[in-house]
Amino acid sequence: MHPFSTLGGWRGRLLYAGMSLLLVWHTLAMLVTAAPDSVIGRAARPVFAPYLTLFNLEVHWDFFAPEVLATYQFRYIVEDAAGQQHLFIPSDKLSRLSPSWIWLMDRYRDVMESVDTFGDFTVAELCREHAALHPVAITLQAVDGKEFTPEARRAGKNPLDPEFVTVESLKTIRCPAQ
Amino acid sequence: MSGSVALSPAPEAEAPSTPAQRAIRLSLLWRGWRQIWFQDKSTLPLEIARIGIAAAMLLHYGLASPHLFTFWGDNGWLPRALLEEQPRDPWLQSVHFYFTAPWQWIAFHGLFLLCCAAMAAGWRTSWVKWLVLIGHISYSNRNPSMTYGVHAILACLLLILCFAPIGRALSLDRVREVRAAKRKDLNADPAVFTSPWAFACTRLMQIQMAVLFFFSAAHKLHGNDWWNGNAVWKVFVQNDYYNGFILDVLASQYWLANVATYGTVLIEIAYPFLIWQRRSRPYMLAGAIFIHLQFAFLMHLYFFSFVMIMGHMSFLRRAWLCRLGAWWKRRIGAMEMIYDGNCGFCKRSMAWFLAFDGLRQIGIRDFRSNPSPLVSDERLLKRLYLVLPDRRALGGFEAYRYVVLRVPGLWWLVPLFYVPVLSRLFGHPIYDWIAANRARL
Repeated sequence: MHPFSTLGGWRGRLLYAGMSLLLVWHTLAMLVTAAPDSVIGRAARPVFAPYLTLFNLEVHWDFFAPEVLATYQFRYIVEDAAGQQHLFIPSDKLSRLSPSWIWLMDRYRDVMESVDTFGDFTVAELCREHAALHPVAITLQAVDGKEFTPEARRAGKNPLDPEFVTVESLKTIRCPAQ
Repeated sequence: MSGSVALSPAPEAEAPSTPAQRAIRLSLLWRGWRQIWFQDKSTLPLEIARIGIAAAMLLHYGLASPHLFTFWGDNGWLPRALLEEQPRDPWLQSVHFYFTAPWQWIAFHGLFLLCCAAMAAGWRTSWVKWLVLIGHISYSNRNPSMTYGVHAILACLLLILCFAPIGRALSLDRVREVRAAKRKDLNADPAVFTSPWAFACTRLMQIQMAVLFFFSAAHKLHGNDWWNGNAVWKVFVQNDYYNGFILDVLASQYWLANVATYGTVLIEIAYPFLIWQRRSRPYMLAGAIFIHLQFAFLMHLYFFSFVMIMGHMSFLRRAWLCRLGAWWKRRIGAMEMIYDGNCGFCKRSMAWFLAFDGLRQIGIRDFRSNPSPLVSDERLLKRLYLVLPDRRALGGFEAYRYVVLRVPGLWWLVPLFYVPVLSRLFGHPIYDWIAANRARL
């Protein structure tokens, strides 16, 4: 016997009213958070904002939309004590079967987008990782893809071939003293 | 005459409604509202979602353990000092904001993983689910730069699961409840839990999935890539989702990229409207699961796809699951376990064992009060027997070994009972020792 069957009269009505209020509230919250900008949305958002923020429900459900982003890749060049340069492409080392893969890819994207924020920590970590090379400095690079057509693919090309990308050196940061 | 017409009361439809009419209208409204939200149903679809979501989180966060301090530590990827420089909403909280020593991260992570495991198994579900939600939100808020779509979906689904009265089926909580009843009477059969609130929460999850698909499609329709049918090609060109084989196939047969692009949008648009109808629901569910399987295997978005499929499980009809259960029971056939009713240990272990038999596949017989026509009492004094539909009788360890493979609730024991050679090598003597000493246990 569930609790509802034992509740009658005003207590039952109150319980159903409370549950209905919660359901309506949560359903509206789902809609408000995903809805595009509008007069109604702007008016409703402040009402729902604390609830949405507290439970991490703020999301727009805009996967790969409206446009699919062009390809990008994070690379870095380690400069060793002898002045030699070593190029590394972290995404090549990651296994796509690991759930951490997408987190690490996000991390590299963040470094490219906000190198001033994430650069120092990332370089410090990379310097530790490549300690065997005796690194002096690391240059962080962002690779941005250009348009890659089916014709190019049929000609045996890859999206990251030099003619389809631009490579930008974001920042060179010296390794912290060990 | 005309005067009398003018003075006569207005037709009934235009008359101000009487309290009785208002009550009828309210009652109809309430009936409709109950039909939408408060049907007395079981928690089964939510339990399937619970098991899948919690297991996926256990794996996902478990594999992140080596990166614990890099991802969420004070001196990691997003140092706390950096986070504090940005204006913070007071509603945005994380338990990690209050940690000061490394052991606190480790202890919390360990506790969180245990709670994920407990939630998947349905152990103390009513409170561990809240710890899982708090943990998930804490990880997401501590390092918002590394959250992506699946974290948002997880938060939405977890909150609904927290609202819901889950853990009442397919769970250790249910096993405990059934076992307690069977310890009093082995033939006891506690009723399946049903509640209007369980249905309301299932409905909330259904609406969540429909809203997600609707807005996902709506956003896509704003983009040229989706209108022009090129989106799928561009996805596979991206370094994150690069797939050489698929790219070769699409390059030689580009119409496939168009079909996949438009097909994705079509399913996403149709889903929120056609998923509610009885006839179209199976097709919509199949379509949604199909596109998520594509995301999983072609784009390697395994975690995202699995969580989404678990969300779609809220649309499973109880009738489908019942039919599946009935089919399984028919396929395996009836089994009868014959035990010693004079042995307290035997009854306790039977209660424990039968509590996992959610489909009620195993019948029981106490040979002391109801002798078996197939197995003699002398044999039954030595060990428990299982009688199969073809009238074969398996004794002792072999009986258990047969059952664990055929009762879904006992599948977790399969690795123990089916290790080649070793299971039988140790299983037989252990069982025989227990059977011989059962009076003392």
